[in-house]
Amino acid sequence: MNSKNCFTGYINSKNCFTGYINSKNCFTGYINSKNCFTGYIRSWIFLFCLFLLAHPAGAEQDYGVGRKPEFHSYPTYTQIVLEKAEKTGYVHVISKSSSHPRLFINLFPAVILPFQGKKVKVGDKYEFKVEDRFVQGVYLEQELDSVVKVVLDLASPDCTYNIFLEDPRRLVIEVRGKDLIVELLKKGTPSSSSLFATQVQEEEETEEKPYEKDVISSLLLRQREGEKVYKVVLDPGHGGKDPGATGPSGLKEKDVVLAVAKELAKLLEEEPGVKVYLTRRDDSFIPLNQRTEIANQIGGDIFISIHANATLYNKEVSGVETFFNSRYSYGEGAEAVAARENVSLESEDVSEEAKAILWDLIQDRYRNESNDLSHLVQGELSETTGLENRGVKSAPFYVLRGAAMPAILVEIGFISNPWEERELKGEDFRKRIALGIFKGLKVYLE
Amino acid sequence: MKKKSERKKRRKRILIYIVVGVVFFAAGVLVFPLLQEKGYQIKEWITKPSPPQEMKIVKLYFSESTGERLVSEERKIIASPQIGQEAKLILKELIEGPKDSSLNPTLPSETQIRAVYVKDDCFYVDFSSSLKEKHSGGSTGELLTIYSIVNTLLENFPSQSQVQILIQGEPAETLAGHIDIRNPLSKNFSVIK
Repeated sequence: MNSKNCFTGYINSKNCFTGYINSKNCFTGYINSKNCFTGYIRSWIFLFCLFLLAHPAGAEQDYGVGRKPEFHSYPTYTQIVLEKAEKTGYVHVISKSSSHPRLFINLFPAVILPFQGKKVKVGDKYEFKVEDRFVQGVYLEQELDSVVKVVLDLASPDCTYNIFLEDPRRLVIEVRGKDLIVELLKKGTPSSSSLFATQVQEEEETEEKPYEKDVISSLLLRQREGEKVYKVVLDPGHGGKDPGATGPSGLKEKDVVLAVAKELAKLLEEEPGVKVYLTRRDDSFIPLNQRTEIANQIGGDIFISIHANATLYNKEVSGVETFFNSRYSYGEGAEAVAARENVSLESEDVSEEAKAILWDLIQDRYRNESNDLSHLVQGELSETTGLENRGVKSAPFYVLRGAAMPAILVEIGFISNPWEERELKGEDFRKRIALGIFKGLKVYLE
Repeated sequence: MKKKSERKKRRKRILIYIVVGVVFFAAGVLVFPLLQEKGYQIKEWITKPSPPQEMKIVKLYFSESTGERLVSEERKIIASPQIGQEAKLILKELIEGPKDSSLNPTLPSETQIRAVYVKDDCFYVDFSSSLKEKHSGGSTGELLTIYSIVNTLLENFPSQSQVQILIQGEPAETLAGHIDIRNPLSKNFSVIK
């Protein structure tokens, strides 16, 4: 987004330059023709000013703003899309007063497009109710002749937002909950040499003040003792447009893993003190980053991603395997990047690299627990299914990093192997897989 | 009449001489330095025959038959003074697949290498979209593909420490929905036998 802005700036300055050349030419013309020309030029300037004045009023087509925005409510954010003219610019401010948290966006030059043949007058207001987790409502107001005010009533002052152009004609506003990463980074001061040190410090502070209702510390340092209900988040892999791996006879990974996750959910629901959540209950596509986001927002205690395995060429490869996340290793060093990012943290822009490191750090806090859980599940799973035990491995998994809870990924058999594919089709076998994961999980919880 | 025709002939001849002269002069100006250069080269060829192209033995990582780990196989390639060029040759061999029939290839055979860039200690390898599209999926398949690329390159160029995989010139989230490849990756020893 930044680079886009820079680019506009560049174009503008170029225009200025042309403007300068033109004015110089005018100047020469003025000297040559002497005084008699002045009157003529003056009248032209006057006419031109008139034209400029008349222009915005008659230029709805150029500065028009759609009267009705589109609303999309997602589990982790709310998206509002506003149609606007290409030339219309915007500025925004947020008021975080706890009684009326609001986001103001001024569009200029802008005119709300005529509605049902009626022209919009200054002061006209259009309100829309949203009433979801992040946004209560939105209203549009024609504040001045060429200024449209857009106001979002927010559900909570602790929100983060993004405003960007999808194309020059679509302004997209996304409101989500507290950005864990930005908050985490803000806590670390540039002077501190190591990010870990600041996190440890933070830990101590929160221990002294247990009443502090901080999302991060509550996520990172959830106290297990007092909890009675374990929230287990099951994540059936792939889905929708992403079928995952496909077997030799056409069985799709997304269908198998959904069925297994549902079987496992049934078993877990019968357990007292366990609450089950699924990241998807049907054949829908959910981006990888949203899966852990959902789990974190729910405040899950355990995250289990269920997948079916495949290899490229050797179709005889078989067995079950369990993975947990391993940290990326960075040449530059996580602390150095985090410290550097801190310096320019006034804007809520945090580089993807820094975010990735921090997500790793979050999951890394649960590394031992994830490792334990992997071994327990893997052992039980290979026993109930009778499939080859390929052991526990770790790798940088997209879907596991960023989970603020013990997180594992279970590969329930090779769909690329014709024999295992046939087994995976059977309901009985799927139940045995679910039972294996369930048994391992139960041992872990106890 | 005779005189006239003779004059004409003479004039023609002079003209031809001039034209031929000019042509030769021009040719001389253009060709002489070239000839000199070539002559020097020819001399060089005669005095010392061109050295045979320098070969280098490299290690390529392929999947063992169980798909558990990566196993190395040696290959001779033509050495190149440019790291990027040499890395491209190595990756081409990797796509070709193993000679040992007990091993398996780790990349879809349709994969093309668009470019290899080197910046600081990091390789940027730009693959065609077939690496992603023709991939079978599965954590195991994906893990072997990614680390056969990363480990092969870093094994043969000890001066480099990271590999960033790009698809059609852009960083991708994953190849098939599992391993995060948004950032440069380092060598992974746990997948090597």
